Formats: sequence, C-alpha cells, structure tokens
Amino acid sequence: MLAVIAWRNIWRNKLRSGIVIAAIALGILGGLFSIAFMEGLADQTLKTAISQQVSHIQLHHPLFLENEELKYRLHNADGILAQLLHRADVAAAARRYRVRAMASTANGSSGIEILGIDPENEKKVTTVYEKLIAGAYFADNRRNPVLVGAKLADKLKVRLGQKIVLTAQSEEGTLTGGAFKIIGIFKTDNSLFDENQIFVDYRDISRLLDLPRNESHEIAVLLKNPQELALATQSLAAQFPDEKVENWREIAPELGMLQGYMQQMMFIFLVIILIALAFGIVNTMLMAVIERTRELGLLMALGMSRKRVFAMIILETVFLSLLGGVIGMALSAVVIQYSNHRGIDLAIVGEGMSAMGYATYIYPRLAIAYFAILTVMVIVTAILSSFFPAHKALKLRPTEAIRVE
Amino acid sequence: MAYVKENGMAIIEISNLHKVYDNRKVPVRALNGVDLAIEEGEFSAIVGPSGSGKTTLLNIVGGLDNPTHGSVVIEGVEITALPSNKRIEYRLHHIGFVFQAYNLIPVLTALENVMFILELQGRPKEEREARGRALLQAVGLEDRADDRPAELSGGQQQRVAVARALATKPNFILADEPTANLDSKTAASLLDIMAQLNLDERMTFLFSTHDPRVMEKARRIISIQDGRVVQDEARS
Repeated sequence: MLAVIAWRNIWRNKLRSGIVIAAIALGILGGLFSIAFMEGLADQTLKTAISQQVSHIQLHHPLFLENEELKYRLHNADGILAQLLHRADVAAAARRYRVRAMASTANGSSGIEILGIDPENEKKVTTVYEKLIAGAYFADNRRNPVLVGAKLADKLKVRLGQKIVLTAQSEEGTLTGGAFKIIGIFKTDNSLFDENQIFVDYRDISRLLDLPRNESHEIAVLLKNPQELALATQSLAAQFPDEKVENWREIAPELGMLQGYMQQMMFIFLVIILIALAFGIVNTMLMAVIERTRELGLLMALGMSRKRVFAMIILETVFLSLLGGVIGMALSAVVIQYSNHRGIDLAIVGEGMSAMGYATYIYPRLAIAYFAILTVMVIVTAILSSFFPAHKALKLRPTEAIRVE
Repeated sequence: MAYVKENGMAIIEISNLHKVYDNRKVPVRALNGVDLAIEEGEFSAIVGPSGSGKTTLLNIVGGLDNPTHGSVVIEGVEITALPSNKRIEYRLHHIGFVFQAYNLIPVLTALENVMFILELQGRPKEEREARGRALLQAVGLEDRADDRPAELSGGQQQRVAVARALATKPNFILADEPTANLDSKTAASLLDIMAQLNLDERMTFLFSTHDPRVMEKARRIISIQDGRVVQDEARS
C-alpha cells in the first residue's frame, strides 16, 4: 500500500508533477539526442575518412610514412596484392603511389598530393568515384586523366576538360612535369581533402616519374568485418614482416581521438542532465514534503515508522523520475530513429565543418546500452536527490499532525 | 462524586507529569504535576478551558510528545522512557487515535484508510480487508467504503477515523476534541457509536474535550486547569 500511496500522492498536484515529468523527459531527450548527434558525427566522420581516404589497414615500406620519399616503395606490390586478395578477411585491396607535387594552371598553383591509383581496384576500396559532381571516373582511355577536388578546381580556376600541370621531383631529384586533363571533379564532405588530393592512374604517374609499375607506396586494405581490425592488423603484420602494417587508428590517430573526445562530451552532457534533474527533483520533493508536514506527522502518529515514511518519499521520487525517464527515452528513441533514417543536413554550417574534416550530413545514432545506462543513472540520481527531502520529512514531529490551526 | 479507583488494574498510570515549553520567548508551563490512573473500560473525558493542558496531556499519554518530568506507564511499559522508534512501534500496536481534524489519508479510500494501519502491523490482506469492512459496518459506513475522504462529510470522516483507531484492537483510544467540528446530530451519533463500542468491547476511551455533549456521555470527568487536575469525578 506504500507504493499505492506514493503513486497517488504524485497525482495530487497534477500540474506540478506533470511539469517535473516533462522537464525530466525533455532533459533526457535533449541529452540523448545530443549524444546521438555527436555519435553520428564521429561515426560519419570516421566512415567518411575510412571510405574516402585511409581504408581499414595500410601497408607501406617501413620508412615511407616518416617523410614520404619516393624511394621507399613496396617492391613486390603485385605479389602482396595477390596474397591479400586471397585472404578470407579482406574485402578489397588497392595499390597507390603517393607523390607530393605542385598543381599549376595559368591562374595559379597549389601544393597537392597525387594519388596514383589503379582505378578499378580503388573503386572497391574508396568511394571517391561516388562523389563526382562533374565528369566521369576514368571512363575513357585518354592519356593523363586526372580527378580533382572542387575546392582545388575553384582555387586554380579550372573546369572539366581543362588541363593542369603536375610537377614533382623524381627519385633522382630532377623536377619533372606533365599536363593532365581534368576528367572529373569530386566533392566530399572534407574540403581539406578536396583541396589537397588529386587522383591519377598509377601507370601515368609511374611513366612521368619513372617509377616501376609493379611497385607502389601504399596498399590500402578494406576488411570484410571492421570489428576484426586489431586481429587482422596483427595477422597481416605477421604475413608481411618486411612491410609496415598499420590500421586506421595508427595511421589517423585523430580519428580515434575524435571518438574519445565525443565520449568525453557525452559524459559531460550526461552529468549536466543529471545535475539539472537532481535540482528539479530536490525542489519538487521538498515542496511536496513541506506541503504535507501535517500528513506526514499524522502517519508517524499512527505508527508508521520513520523508515517507511522515508521509503514513501523515495518511492514517490522514483515514480516521478521513472515516468519522466520512460517518456523521455521513448521520445528520444523516436526522434533519434527518425533523424537516423532521414539524416540531418548541416548545409548552413557545412563549410566550416567540412573545412575541419567533419562530415556535414549526420545520421544520429545511439547504442541501446546508453538508454539502459541513462535509465539506471536517472533512477540513481532521483533516489540520491530525494534523500534530502526525505530526511527533512523524518525531522517532523508527530504532534504537528494533531495540532489544529 | 469524587472518582474512586475500582479494583480493576489501571492500564494507564500517570505520575507527577510536568511539561514546560521552553522553546518560546516566555517558557510555558503546560502541565504542572498531573497524577492520574485510567482503568480498562473507562469512558472518560479530560475537560478544561483552552490552554489548560488537555491536548499536551493526551499527546504525552499517546507517546507523541515527551514530558519535562514524570512518567506515563501503560500496562507496565513506561512509554515516556521509550526511544522515539520504539514509541512509534508501541503506538501502532497499543494506542488508537481520533483527532479533531479527522486526519485521514486523503489519497486512500475509507476502507484503505482503515486497512492501512493493519498493513503497517503486517497483517495479511484478507484479514485487513475483512476487519476494515467489519469496522466500517460498525460505524455505519459500509456503503462508503470506496469513497475518498474528500467525498465524505465531516461526520463520516470522523467515523472512518474511529474505525481506523479501532482497527488494530488497541488497549485504549485517545480522542482529542473528536466532536469539535461536527454538528449536534452527527456528534451525537458518533458518540453513540463510541459508547456502544465501549460497552460491547470494553474499549477504553479517553477524550480531551470541552464539548458538553461528550461530557454528558462520559462516565468520568477529569477537570484540568493551569496544568493541574482540579477535579476528578465519576458519573453514573
């Protein structure tokens, strides 16, 4: 009956309880949606980086990544590729030459990085071909085709079909240049990428800089199951002991840091929500206790132990917060699911975001575990914050009850 | 006729009871050496003007307040010496209360109000319900069992309060101005119910009142003034 009294007590002041429940629900909605948004942002940024640039795992000459010198190549790139494609855990693999160069037109020049790719294999590993806003992806067999980013095209004031001159230093140190025709312009979510990376056929760059066709600077590997990243990295390192095998966490630690940063932000959000919740509950329950001084005194006069009075106040708080919590979580689930389905276009702030390498189309998502964790945390916070009002109730004297005002 | 102690055992023994409220600007001496013995089956009224100490005396006898000096012994247990938690427990099992302002739990129905106190005692649900209904019938409210206090008249609420006080089969019932808020007819009917319970079940009633209707029914009148018993008489 204690639970019955506690439950009915909540509804004695419907407006007040309703406001508290709404506040809890909206607080949870705000918090969970923010967390889901950040998760989606981190997730999308990571996915974009993996699908457009780093892939899951990369193989290099052990010294290549230190200063990206042309001479540090994978000498048996064809052999490694063949072995990789035979592995059960590898979905796709692609070779790349990576060369620092200067892109020039009559209108200006810009420092860039040439990615000399095998177009067919690259398509299986990265998704740049999906990001073309003009032209086609190495569709014809014209000599020296190049894909450039929209940002670079703007900077150099070139259009589809026009030529740019790529100048790079050969292995011997001589400057070599060649004219390349723009056959496609891509635009990804990352404007830094669009400004700095260009794609050419690896055969063209090997001819320009006199690099062997059966070698490469990098082999990018896409796994069938990204969850097996650490295991696959270990296994590949064992299979190719002469090469440096690294996964995206090692190659682009900032992406891993982004996830860590987002988790810290989530923690801060949760703490803010819970503190706001605690203050709301203390305020409401304190009012409920003060209003019912007489009644609580009566319960003690009748023989209700202090322990039970305490439990009743706690129960009222738990009911209030559970109601608010359940409504808040249901609302959050609907809103997050809907926005995950539709996606959120950050077009207004997209430029700034993409300049920092963040995705501009976000699909908020939240693991079920967060709902469960938040439910527990809301209840624990509610119970903790009801201690003060409940303690206040215990200090009442039963004689209050029989005193007639 | 001065009250002469019968041969029966006193269930309440009040000895040299003093109460001073010294938390006010001027200390107030509410009780100033009260000695009383209440026997089983009494239907007694403590009477006196406002501020004479009636309610303070009832509160201390009921274990709701502490005396400054003196003791209250109920069937061999010195309730004034019990720690707070033990006193709550003692009240639950041995003392029934009826208050001037009814003091029912507003969110519970009439039946639930009566059953609630039995639940505090840990009685099984069937017993709680059976006793609750029987008591509501005894006070003539069996058809209002599912109504909440706000749906009942003052007299009906006070009858529920009497049923609640009787529910635990206490040693005695303390009733503080139980008829003060009731009209004559309702008050008379309530007093009849209590007098009948006193006769049928030998339930001891101790009232604090200045209502002549209660005094008329009471078989012992204890007059109190300035915190002292000034007259104690039995009535036929």
